[in-house]
Amino acid sequence: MLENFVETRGLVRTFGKKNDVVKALDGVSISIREGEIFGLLGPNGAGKTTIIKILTTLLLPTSGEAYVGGFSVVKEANKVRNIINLVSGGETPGYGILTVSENLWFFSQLYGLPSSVAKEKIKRLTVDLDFKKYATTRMAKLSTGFKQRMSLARGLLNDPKMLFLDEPTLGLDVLTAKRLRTYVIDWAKREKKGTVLLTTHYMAEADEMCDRVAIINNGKILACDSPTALKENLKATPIAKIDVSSIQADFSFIQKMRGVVGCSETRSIQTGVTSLKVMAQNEKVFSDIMSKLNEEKLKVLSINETEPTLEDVYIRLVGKGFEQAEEKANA
Amino acid sequence: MAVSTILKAVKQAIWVGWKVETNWADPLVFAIYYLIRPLAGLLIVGFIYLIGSGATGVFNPNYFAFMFIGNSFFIYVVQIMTTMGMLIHDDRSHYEVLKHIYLAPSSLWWYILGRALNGVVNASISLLLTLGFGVAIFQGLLHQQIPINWFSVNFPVLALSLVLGMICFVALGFLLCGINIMTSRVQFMLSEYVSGILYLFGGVVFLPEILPSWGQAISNALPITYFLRTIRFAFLNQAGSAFQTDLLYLAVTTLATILVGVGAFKIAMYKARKDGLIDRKEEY
Repeated sequence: MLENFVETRGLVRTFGKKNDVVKALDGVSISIREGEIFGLLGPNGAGKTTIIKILTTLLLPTSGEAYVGGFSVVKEANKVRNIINLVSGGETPGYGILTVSENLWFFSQLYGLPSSVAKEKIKRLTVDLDFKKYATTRMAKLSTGFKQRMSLARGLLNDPKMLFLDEPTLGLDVLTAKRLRTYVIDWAKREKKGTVLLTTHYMAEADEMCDRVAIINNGKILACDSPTALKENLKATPIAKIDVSSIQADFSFIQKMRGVVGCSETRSIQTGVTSLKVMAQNEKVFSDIMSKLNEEKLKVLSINETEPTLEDVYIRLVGKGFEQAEEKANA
Repeated sequence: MAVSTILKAVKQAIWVGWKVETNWADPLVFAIYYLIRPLAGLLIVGFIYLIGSGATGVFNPNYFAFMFIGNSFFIYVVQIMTTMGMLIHDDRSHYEVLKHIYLAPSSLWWYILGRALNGVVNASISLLLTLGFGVAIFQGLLHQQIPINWFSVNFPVLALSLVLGMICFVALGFLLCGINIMTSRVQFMLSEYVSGILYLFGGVVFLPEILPSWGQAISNALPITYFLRTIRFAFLNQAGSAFQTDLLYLAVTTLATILVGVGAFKIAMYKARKDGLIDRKEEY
């Protein structure tokens, strides 16, 4: 049994040429144990999908090494493809002109499954993922949630030893997302050797599903441990959620205040409220923040101390939340 | 890779190709389109010749047969170039399945080959219908004698020419797939340009000898020139025709096309993987 089913060493990937080079991955080294559900957590543009593309042999690294199941993704791509599958969120899972069953049958044959096995698997997966009633419906007519169920079914058809899930619940309603998460966890446990690499920017998803999580930002792994251990490291750091009645104000001054470790902000257009998550060196800092907000004539609706989440781990490491990191990346 | 996996992939690709090409219409409408498209091409050329020969008072039945055979068999070029010229774009950008096919153990090569074979099957059905209806219209209705003896067709030569020709056109299709994977938005014009060049220089409706010397040089380098010559030999049984030489040239140019087409596709796939183009999304 391999100790590390997936291993990358100093993985670098750049895009663009000469004067316009973007470094998507900057020396990424990760190890994923066999049977583990491993999460890559980071904002959009952090490099999560680039890692998945390299590990699934869709993309070559600029430098560094990567192995899946002991096979080099560069030199032994065909062997890697025999043991993996990929499910991506928010994409078309097959030919819209074919029915769900036809699509799954098509892929089962590309995966080389014997007819009787393929039929049995398609039947089981459509029942397990609760979309059997749509088996004869054209894929194009399915809702986003059922398309994603079909996508997951396709990804499990060949019983992959390594399943890559790239933002698998993107754009799904809460219940469907929950159902897919539960199914993947059950599948990994049931198969025992089913190793999963999940990329997500949903903290709760990573928290619920992953045995270990790597936090990635600007192509670099900032931390890697179990969600519990990552959060445990923050126990000594006071965290407060402050709701302010303004979505127009500039809150960047908080980040610059003495004693502030990090701050994220979520603006809700519907409620007109900005939720600030502030991490501080000590609780006195919160009093200073309240005074400063009063000075700025910003109405504080509530302030509550909160338990650390994976987002707080990210804020602690980067100094700001996902939304701010994505805004900066887009700018 | 297991042979059974390859065969399954090819079979499924043929089936998907059929679905993709026929899904837009009712079966009856599609059947009519299937017949009308190639037949219209033949009738246009045929009537132009008949009108021209009527005006000059000179009708050459051998030339009419030359044109009839050339135009009918050109359907293979049109069909294979259209199928293979569009499939990368369709599967990558429209259906978004290319990356999953690429990641499947059966490999993209066999899938593309299957789609190409679907094009060959479609073209063969169109060809049979065109020949049948073409003869019925020109000989039956318009009383123009086409000097083809349907009972003395040289089937061994015909079969060999068809096999070599299909291999050659499919190899050319792989070249188009390679170009398409590296580029975007050229898929529509690419297959038409290639078909157009082959139509112009390949001796489809006129003898390449009437082309200027540089045009003849191009014609001599194209496998379709020899493909149509050997096909015509098989149908028209022209005495003295050096069909063995033409078959040899067809084999040589086919081999060259395989090397170019397959080599270009292999390089393109490497470049596509290097540049992250296999799952590139385009506006559609």
